[in-house]
Amino acid sequence: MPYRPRGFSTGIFTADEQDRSFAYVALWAGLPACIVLLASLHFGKIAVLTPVCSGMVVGSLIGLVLSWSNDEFVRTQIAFAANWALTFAGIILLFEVVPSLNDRAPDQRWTLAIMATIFHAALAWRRWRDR
Amino acid sequence: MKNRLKVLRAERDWSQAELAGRLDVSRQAVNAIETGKHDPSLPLAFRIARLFDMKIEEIFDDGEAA
Repeated sequence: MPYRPRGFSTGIFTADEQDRSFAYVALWAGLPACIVLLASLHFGKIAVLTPVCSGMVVGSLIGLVLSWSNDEFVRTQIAFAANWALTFAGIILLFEVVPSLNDRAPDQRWTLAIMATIFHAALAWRRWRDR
Repeated sequence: MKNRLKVLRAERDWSQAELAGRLDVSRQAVNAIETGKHDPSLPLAFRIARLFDMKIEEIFDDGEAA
């Protein structure tokens, strides 16, 4: 495979089919990483696995902004998953704004980890349905 | 939505990856369109039609009689 100089040094930002397929496949790692993250929150840090998986979860969510490598099909799936994650966020917000429910609001770390897990779980389900 | 994308691709002996590269989408998107799991947007439908030098209606069929 010939070397294809890309990126900031060359000013070439266009994604090709390989980039898009890689981006599609890479997102599959999000769900197992989220499960490890939740396990870490519950049982405690798990050696190297916790920081690695935490980074993967964080990167998978922040990386969504880089939509140049995602085509319309992938964006449809991401939007579906994001809807579920935002629904969960809305429920948590309800717990925060209703005084009688304040005491039942979960910890922020758990909230965000669960939200990320819901996103990746919904994404995995949508991909399985669209296979 | 039914379509002839797989047939048209096979006639030109293109792989899904090759067709995806020509359409600026992922291979997974091509597979989803061929299997009817995803309907392309209008810009993508036009790109597909131009690539095969056909009308959109000759490639895609929404099942509704004219």
